[in-house]
Amino acid sequence: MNFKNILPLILVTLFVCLTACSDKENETNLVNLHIAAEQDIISINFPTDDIETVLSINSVFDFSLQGQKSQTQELVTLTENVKWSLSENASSSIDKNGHFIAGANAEIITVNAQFGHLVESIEIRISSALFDRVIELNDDVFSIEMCQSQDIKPVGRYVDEDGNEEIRSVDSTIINTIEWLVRNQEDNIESQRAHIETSNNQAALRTLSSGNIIIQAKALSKITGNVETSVDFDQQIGNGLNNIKLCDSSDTDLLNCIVDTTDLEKDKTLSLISVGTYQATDGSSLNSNISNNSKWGIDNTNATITLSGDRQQLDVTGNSENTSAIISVACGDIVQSIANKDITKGVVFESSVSCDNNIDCLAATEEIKISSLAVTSLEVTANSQDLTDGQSLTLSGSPAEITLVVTAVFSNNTSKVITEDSKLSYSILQGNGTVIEENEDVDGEFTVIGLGTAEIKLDFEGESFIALIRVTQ
Amino acid sequence: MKLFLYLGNLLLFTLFSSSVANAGVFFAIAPAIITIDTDNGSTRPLVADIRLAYEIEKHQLELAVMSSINEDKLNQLTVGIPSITSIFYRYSPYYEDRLKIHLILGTSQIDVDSSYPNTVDATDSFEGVSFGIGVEEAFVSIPNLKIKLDWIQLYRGDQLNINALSLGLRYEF
Repeated sequence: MNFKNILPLILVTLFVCLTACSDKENETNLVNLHIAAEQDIISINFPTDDIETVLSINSVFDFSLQGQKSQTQELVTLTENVKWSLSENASSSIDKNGHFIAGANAEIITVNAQFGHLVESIEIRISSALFDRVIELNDDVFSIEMCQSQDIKPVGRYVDEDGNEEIRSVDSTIINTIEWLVRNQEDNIESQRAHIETSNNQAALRTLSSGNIIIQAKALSKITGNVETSVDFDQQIGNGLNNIKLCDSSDTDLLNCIVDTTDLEKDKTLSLISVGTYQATDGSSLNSNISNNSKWGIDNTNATITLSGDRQQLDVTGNSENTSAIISVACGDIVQSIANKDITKGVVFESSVSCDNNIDCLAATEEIKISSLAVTSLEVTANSQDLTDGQSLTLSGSPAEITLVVTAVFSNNTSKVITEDSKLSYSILQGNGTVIEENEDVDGEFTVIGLGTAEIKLDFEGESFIALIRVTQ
Repeated sequence: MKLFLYLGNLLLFTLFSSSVANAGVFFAIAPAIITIDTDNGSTRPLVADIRLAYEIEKHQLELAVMSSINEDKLNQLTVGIPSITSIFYRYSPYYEDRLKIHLILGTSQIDVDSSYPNTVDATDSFEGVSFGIGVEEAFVSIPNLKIKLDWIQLYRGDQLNINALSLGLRYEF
């Protein structure tokens, strides 16, 4: 037997084996270890502050998972490669992002989260108890300063079919239906110091100025069928804002940020944020974007100001070129009245805002200069034929006149014919008096007086164009 | 594993019973980087790669044995390769003077050791199709000695791939 004889046998044996041998089921351990190792996670757990262990039927809840890094011991929220599952036979469901939808029946289930080889589980009770009313503003006492936002977890009273009472966080089916009432403590009138807004099943208290307020929650009781109003919840809003300043919205270093660009082209927009400096609990300074809780103003109509959709920045749009506008921002009790303002949409005035003797109020201003729209290029035709900057165009037949039409293209991609604009200058660099003469009465028109090449330089707002025209028989 | 023993014996048997002209026996040694690739990270332990091959004309049959020189770490994950055993068929579609290019097809068994904090150390074993490409060039002064470079995908799975890149020497007896 020699190699040539056994080679086909070897190859056939090899291929049979190759198609049969594969250990895909063995991959799990190594793949899972790489998932955990890549993020350096050595343990996982559910965040104790955010987890709910009792949920109402048909409610939703977003579970999250945090992992501990081995090097820094830091806890980080894990958003990718988390596999969520529920115990068998659960009528509830959970998706790949941890979004849990409780079933229509009371049940006790286990929520499992797997990250790599690490697994964490928690037992959840789905309760059929019915909501009655809100009994606490938040599950914990908290302090808040003016122009800050604070997520709150209202606590509700629930009653099951046997009359047993459950006191727990208000679930997602109720939280979006609550009408929040905010009054001043001293005069009992509707307060403009703060409001509560709810989005994505999360309620947040947003404050605009300091003072004492009373908050109430109105919601439909599933027990009585009536709208029930909670007891008064007293809340103090502190005046612990130490400083306010304006910054570019792109700034991430809120400690050192300023408004770098105060020049704004007409019809263009720049975005600003207001940054408030507070004292943190450890005594250090805490800087945060307080744009959505600030009061904004502008001293004229040379520019227009609007809050962005998420109210995280103020957009300033230039209206009148070669002018300026002073943007003002304030936090606290301003001179201007906001009685008729819907503070839930943000407070923006068409006039300046200012503080009254700086009592419980801080303000900042910035002047924005509005210039004309920048010209990005010039487009030119000669006797209706397109010219290219610096490239020769031949006009045959010895035309009597050359008529230039000049169009300016602006930085906002708009364009405008500027042939007769007084800021456009025509300079004949070559062929003046031998090939062409400028018609003094009509802008852009030149009389042909001979054959040859004419070179005309066009200047407009810092942009130049060389029109090179060869006149032939 | 029985398959490898069988094929290994077959190779040795063939080596010693050959009566064909233009046949040759090769021995090769090289360090090789083994890349264990997953969607979420890679580890690259280093192995010693020892090969014994028999060649006839454009065909070669090669037995490869590899073992860890260095483990690799991905943060707290330590990965080592206690052993890789492979049988390769190498075909030379192109050769000129001292240069040869090989297409490689075969089968491999790869054992991977892993250790991670708070878990039991494990050894996972993978068997499957291997394929790759190799190039070798003989030295002018010692024509029997060649420098060679191989890239081989030792294992191709659903969620992980194991590749080998080796650069070393081959000697023709």
